[in-house]
Amino acid sequence: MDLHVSLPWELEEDILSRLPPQSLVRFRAVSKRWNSLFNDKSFINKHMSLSRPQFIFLTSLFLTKSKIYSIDIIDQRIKLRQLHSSCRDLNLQYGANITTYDDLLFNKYPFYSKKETVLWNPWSRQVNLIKLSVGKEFNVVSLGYENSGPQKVHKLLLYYPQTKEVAIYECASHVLRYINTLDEVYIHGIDRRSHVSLYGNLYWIAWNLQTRQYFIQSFDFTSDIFKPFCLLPLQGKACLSELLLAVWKGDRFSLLKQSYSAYSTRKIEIWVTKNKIDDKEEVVWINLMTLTASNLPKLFHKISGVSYFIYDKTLFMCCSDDKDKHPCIYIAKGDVCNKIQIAYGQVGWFSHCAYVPNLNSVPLDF
Amino acid sequence: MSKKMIVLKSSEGVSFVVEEAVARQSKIISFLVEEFPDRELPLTNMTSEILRKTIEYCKKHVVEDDGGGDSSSSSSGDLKEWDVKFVAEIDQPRLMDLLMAANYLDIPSLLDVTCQKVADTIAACNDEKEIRATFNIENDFTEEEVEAIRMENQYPI
Repeated sequence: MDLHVSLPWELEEDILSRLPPQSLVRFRAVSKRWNSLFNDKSFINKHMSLSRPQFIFLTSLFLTKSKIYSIDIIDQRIKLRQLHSSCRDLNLQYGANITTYDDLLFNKYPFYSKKETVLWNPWSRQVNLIKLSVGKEFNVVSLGYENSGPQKVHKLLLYYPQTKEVAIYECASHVLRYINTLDEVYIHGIDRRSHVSLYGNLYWIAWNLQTRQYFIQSFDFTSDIFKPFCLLPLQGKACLSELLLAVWKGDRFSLLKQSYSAYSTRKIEIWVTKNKIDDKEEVVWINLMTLTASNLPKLFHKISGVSYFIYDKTLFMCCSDDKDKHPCIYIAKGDVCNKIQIAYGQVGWFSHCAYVPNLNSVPLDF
Repeated sequence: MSKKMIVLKSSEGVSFVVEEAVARQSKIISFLVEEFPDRELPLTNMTSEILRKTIEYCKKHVVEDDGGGDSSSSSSGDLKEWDVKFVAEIDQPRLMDLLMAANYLDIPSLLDVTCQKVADTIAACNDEKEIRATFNIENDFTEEEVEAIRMENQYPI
């Protein structure tokens, strides 16, 4: 029997969309048809919709080179895979920070060490090292893009803490432009606040001093302005809650909430937006699930942060252990929570994020 | 109460008498049974061997309706295990035939397990040469083109 001749192409595509991305990349050279899938946006999207989310985990001991792992969790077991050990472009340094940008990974370096950032995808195996030609040691707040024209114009949002200046840096043209910002935006705090990138724009959880309410602040990379996006589904003493924003189902937000006023309970609530995120409709939040296990971690003040995703009606979290600070994966469903320690040797500094493995190519035109 | 039986005929002309509920897992048969009740259904593109396998699968997966709501003959965990064993015992060419049969007869769950098995077989291959050999795929690339593809995915994992 002959796969090539006898199977309708839709079936062959269906089969291939079930393969893990690393296999697909390895097998691009099977035939021209298989290879063509890498330029097929509908296949890439289908493949991504079937992908099981994972954690990307970056760790380093002082004065040593960082290591990056992907962590897959299947049937209450974790599988660590070290990524790109031989990639010279990703010469990660101590203190590097890993986050996601659209469907790709984005590394930020502390700017006392390097004036560069990296945009990459371990599964399509592509890297774009973005070097900044700027005079000052700016902090990179986020990467985004202007999407009003036919082509995406990639920009970096920069912050210079000494003078509290905010600037936009166009990656392709290397043009630096200072922009005005309001004091209440508190841009220096974004890295410590939960933030996400979606459709080229940046969203993060902020606090309104006047109304004493948490809300989602956004930065629109098309018009270069900060604007409040929506309120959060909180009642009562919301200021005493740990709030974590994430992208859900590719085009929505999820919000993880753990109140830390009541020490007796470690209950976690997960809220999601009903509709996809755009400027047209008002945001409606719905309560997706509540986790009540007594052994859930206390999420308040985790120095290396908390990342999470929801899959198969289960909450997966990556953060340090409450007591020994060792990085762990927590798998919670209903009133049960299972903790798995990430075994990678000596505990050093670490950064992590949730990631949906995919085959999207990294834009290399800047 | 006696169960209603229907007759399916393979490409070799062999007749298989099957309970209607079993055969109705195929959306096509379900449709045909309503259009042509009390008729033999000829499946001219399916060999007896593949038809027998397909019926075996459908018998295992039939949901019996005994008046008091649906109750499957096995628990879902057992069924999953059975499915894994079922496809593991089939060799590669017959697996492809079974997949085609599931597609033709429109049996979504059988199509799902056979597609997954083929995907697992592909993932277990060592390189593109092994895949081409296993699935009889022609290499339509030149050496230079293969090299160019490798360059696009810059670094090894």
